[in-house]
Order: sequence, then structure tokens, then C-alpha cells
Amino acid sequence: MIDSSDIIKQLENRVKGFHVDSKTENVGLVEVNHDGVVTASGLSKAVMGERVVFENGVLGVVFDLTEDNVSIILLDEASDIKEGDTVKTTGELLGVTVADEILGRVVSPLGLPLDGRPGIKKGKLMPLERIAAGVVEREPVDTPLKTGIKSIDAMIPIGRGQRELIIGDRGLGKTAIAVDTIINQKNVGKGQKRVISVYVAIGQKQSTIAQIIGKLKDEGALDTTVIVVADAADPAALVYLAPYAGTAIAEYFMEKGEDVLIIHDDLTKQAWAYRQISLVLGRPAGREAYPGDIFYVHSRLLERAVRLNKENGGGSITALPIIETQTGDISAYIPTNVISITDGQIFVESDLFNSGIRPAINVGISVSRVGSAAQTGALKSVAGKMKLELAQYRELAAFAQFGSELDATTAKQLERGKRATEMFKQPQYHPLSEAYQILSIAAVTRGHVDDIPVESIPEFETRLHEFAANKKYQKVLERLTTGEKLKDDDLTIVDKLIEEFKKGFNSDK
Amino acid sequence: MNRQTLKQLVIESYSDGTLDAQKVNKIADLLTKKELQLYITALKNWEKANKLIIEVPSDGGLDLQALRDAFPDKKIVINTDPSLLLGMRIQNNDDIYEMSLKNSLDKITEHITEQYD
Repeated sequence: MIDSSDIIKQLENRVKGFHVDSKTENVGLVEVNHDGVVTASGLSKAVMGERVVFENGVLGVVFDLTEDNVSIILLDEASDIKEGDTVKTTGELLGVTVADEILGRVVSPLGLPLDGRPGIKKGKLMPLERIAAGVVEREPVDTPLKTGIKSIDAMIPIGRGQRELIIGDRGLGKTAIAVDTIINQKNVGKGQKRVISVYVAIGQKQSTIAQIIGKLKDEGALDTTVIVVADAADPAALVYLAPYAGTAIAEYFMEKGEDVLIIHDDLTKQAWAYRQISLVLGRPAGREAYPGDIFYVHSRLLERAVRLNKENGGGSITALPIIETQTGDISAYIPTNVISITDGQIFVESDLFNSGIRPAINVGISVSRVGSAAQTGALKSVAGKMKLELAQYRELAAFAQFGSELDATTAKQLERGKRATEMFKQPQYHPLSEAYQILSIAAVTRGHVDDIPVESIPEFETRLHEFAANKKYQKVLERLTTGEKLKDDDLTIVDKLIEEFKKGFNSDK
Repeated sequence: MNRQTLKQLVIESYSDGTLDAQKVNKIADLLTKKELQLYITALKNWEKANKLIIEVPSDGGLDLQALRDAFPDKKIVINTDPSLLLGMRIQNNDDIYEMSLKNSLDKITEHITEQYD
């Protein structure tokens, strides 16, 4: 039986920290509600970005301040707000409550649960808008973030703290690259820090989002992932705020010294939402009807992707924004803006996709401006000149179509290129560990597949990996996994392994 | 019509602190439809800014002199709202000061709900 003093103590604890003070509120009256943007009079003490609450509980954010009025964007259903309703300030800037328990959860840009589980009440309030870390707090990108996709890790390597744009038309596998990268984070090598992923679904169909969540769950990657959702049915304000909310969640983990990967899928839809809000607010329209500050919307967001130095915890945020182009036009307004903001881009192309090259990455125009410093020595040893050789092959292949006679060197280059292209094909949801990537690439660059028919390459690769998985070669794989530069001896061992496999492969054929 | 002119028109609409119907009608006749809308909004805002609304649970027991001393330039309007139970609510333009028992009870309910959620 509980003692009476315990009961009293429990009651005391319940009211601990509770003070009944008089309340001061700054209120306003709704004058106009126009497509989710409300104009209110009063609210003389409101500040930009402050959270306000309407009398029916709907939330909004102060988005414009004029001498007489305040413009508020609504974060909920707009039809309930009518002229004359009262609205009051809360004294809080818009933020999202984050705790470690948010991992594996699906939340809205306001941090509210969307997965039917209880909300996160106790945690740190992370502001959605925040100034990015300064130069003194930063460190150069030097640690790889492995995507598990051979063509990216070998030729367009990404480093932790980098901003790499994934750009291309719809339906060409941009999201697939991002999802594969998240899945691959469970294969982090020994001695390497884990990577937490934040996937921000911006203005997407709910069915697509459900599919991605299901896949991440099946692959066991959801436990280290946070999914922020502002779907196509959400108000424009939520769609606009979603990438900032995702970044705020990523910053929480980065401050704890963790490495975080954030996917913004996609920023084109966020730009549309911002354009809609700006036009309703009556801000002057510029190119493609986007407001003048659309560049700043994206630059201040992506600038928050950073690698912090040891004194500041050593955490990082790697951003993979996605941009959807129309008929491959990368010279449109939003694509050119984001290309100039990021540290490189992965360009997916419809021609490659339709000719069966998947992932459909155009290696020629895809670049990674800082990632090469982060590529491991092992991968560099076998894939160093791969990008140049493949680009040369594509040029030569275009000329070879005219059917003129080719000299032996060119013919060899063409044959090698065909095999390299075939080897870089990779099915979706099958990210590869670094050791297997090195084996596949070494098989091409060191000439082991020159005499293998192009159509047999996929089978060759699959069986090579199965062969290498044998306990006998455990040490070779472990050596390749260390990431250290491969010496001649190491390369000889790799050659030996491939040759040994090839004997069996050829005899089976 | 600029803001300065609008403000001047609003000030001129008053005689001894009260809105003068004659002056208002005279000014309104001189304005276009758009200007008239601005004038109405400005009058409403002026009225609101110069009014102090006090809500109390019941008539009586209110120290009006103390309130007049605290807000010397304001026109005081007293309304009754029994739901406040005790204390008062003061609305000064867009600021609201809640000093009622209802507010205290609401706060306690809010706090306990948060604890149990």
C-alpha cells in the first residue's frame, strides 16, 4: 500500500515547476484569407517566422510584416479561417521537437507523428530556420559517403558534408539512387561512423512515399532513418517548410557528433510551393514567375550541409537534393540555381535509361567537386582513370556508328568501354559493398573481361561475387574493405582471384 | 492619399475625444470610394487603439480611478463576463492581459493534461 506521504509527494511533483502567472497575449484580427495566406491586423509585436495560433487551433507562421498588417501562411486546413477570427502570437519561432526516439519515425514538417505512434514530446526544440555553421567551425570533406552504386562511388564519389545534386527528368531513377544510398548506410565498414539518414518527401504522392517507407523497412534501413513528409495534399506552407524541418532534425544529430545524410526529394516542388505563396502574397514575380529570393531559399538551406571540425563535435550533414527537369533542360531557372549552389551533380538521362543503362547516370556531365578527396585509396587504385576512359568511349562510340574502319587501339578501347558500361549497370535496391565494387571494377580496368562476351558480363559479375564470398578469400575482401591504397602485391592477389574464378566460369560456359 | 493625410483626417474627425458625425460625413463626401475604404479602416484602428476594454465577472468592486491613472489617454469600456469567475481581462489595442481565475484554472488543466499525455 502506498504511504500517504508518497501520494502527497507524487502530487507535489506533478505541479512542480507550475506557476500561475497572469497571461499577456498579443492578438490580431483576420482580414483576408486567400489560398492559405491570411492577412491580419493587429499583432504589433509579431516577429518574422513566429508561430501564431488562430482561435480554432490552426497554426500559422508570420511571413510578411507591413506597417498595418501581418501576412501569415497557414500550416493546416485553410477553409476554417474566416474574416474576424482572432489570432495570437506565441512568442516562439517555428521549430521541431527532436529526440533520439525520432529515428525510425515518419513525421510531418512540424514534428507531428504520421505513423500512428505517439508523438515526441520531450526533446530539443530545433529551429527550422538557422544560420549555417561558419568557416571557423568547418573542416574540408575527407571521409567518403558510400552510395553502394558502383558508377557513383568509382567516378563521382561523394564525401560526408558534401552537397551533391541528383538531377534529371521524371521516372529515370533519381529517387532510386537516393533510396539505395540510404539502404547502403547499413553496410558502413569497420571503424567508420554510422550514418543516420533523413528522407524528406516534398509534395510527393502518398502512394510513392508509402512504397519508399515499405522498402526501407524491408531492407532494415528504417531504424536509422527519419522520414519527413509533406505530401501533395498538404498546404503549400508545409511543402515549403519540409526541407528546413528535415535539416533541423539532421542538425540535432550532427550536434551530437553523428554523420547525417539528408535527401530532399525534390526541391523543384518546394520551389513551386514557394512560388505559389509568393504570388498570393503579391511579391513581384521574376523569371518563370519565381520570386526574386528563390535562390536564397535554396542556398540558405543547402549551406546548412556541413562537415564540422573536431572542436565542434566532428559531425556532418551530407545533402543530396533532387531536382526534376523537363525534357532534360538543365538550363531552366531552378536547375541552374541548384547546380551552382551544390558541390557537383549526378545527371540521369532518358537516352541512357531507355537503352537499358541503369542507373542512367551520364558520367560525362556528372561531377563531384570535392568528393575525390574523400574517395578511398583502394577504390582510387582501380577506378582512377575510369571516368575519363568511359567519357572517351562514349565519344568514340558515337563516331564508330558511321561504320568506318577502326585501328586496333580504338577497337580495343571500344570493346573495353562496352564491358565497362555493362559492368556499371546495377539493379535497384542492390547497393554493393566497397570490396565487391573493387572486384567488379578491377575485372574491367585490369583487362580480365576483355575476352568475355558483353552479354555475359552481368552473370560474370554475380558469380564473381559469389566466388569471392567463399571463406578462402575472406582475407582478400577484408583487405579491400580497409580502403587503404592497393599496392602491387594487393593488385596481384586481386588479379589471381579473378583469374582463378575465370577458369571455372569459362569451363562452365 | 498618403498615411500622413489619412492620420490627419482621422484626428480631425474627433471633437473633444468623441467621434463627430457631422465632421465624418463632411470628410466622407470629399473622398473617392477607395479613399473612403482606407478612411474607414483608419477610423476603426484609431478607435481600437484608443479604447481600453475591461472584462470583469460582475458589476461593481472595480477601482476605476486606478485604471484611469494607469491608462490616462484611453476611453474605458467595461463589459461583464461571468465565465471569468474572479479577476479581470484587460484589452489594450492588440495586447490582452489575462488576470482571471478562469485563466489560472485553464493553465492547471493544460499542465495536468500535458503531464498525463
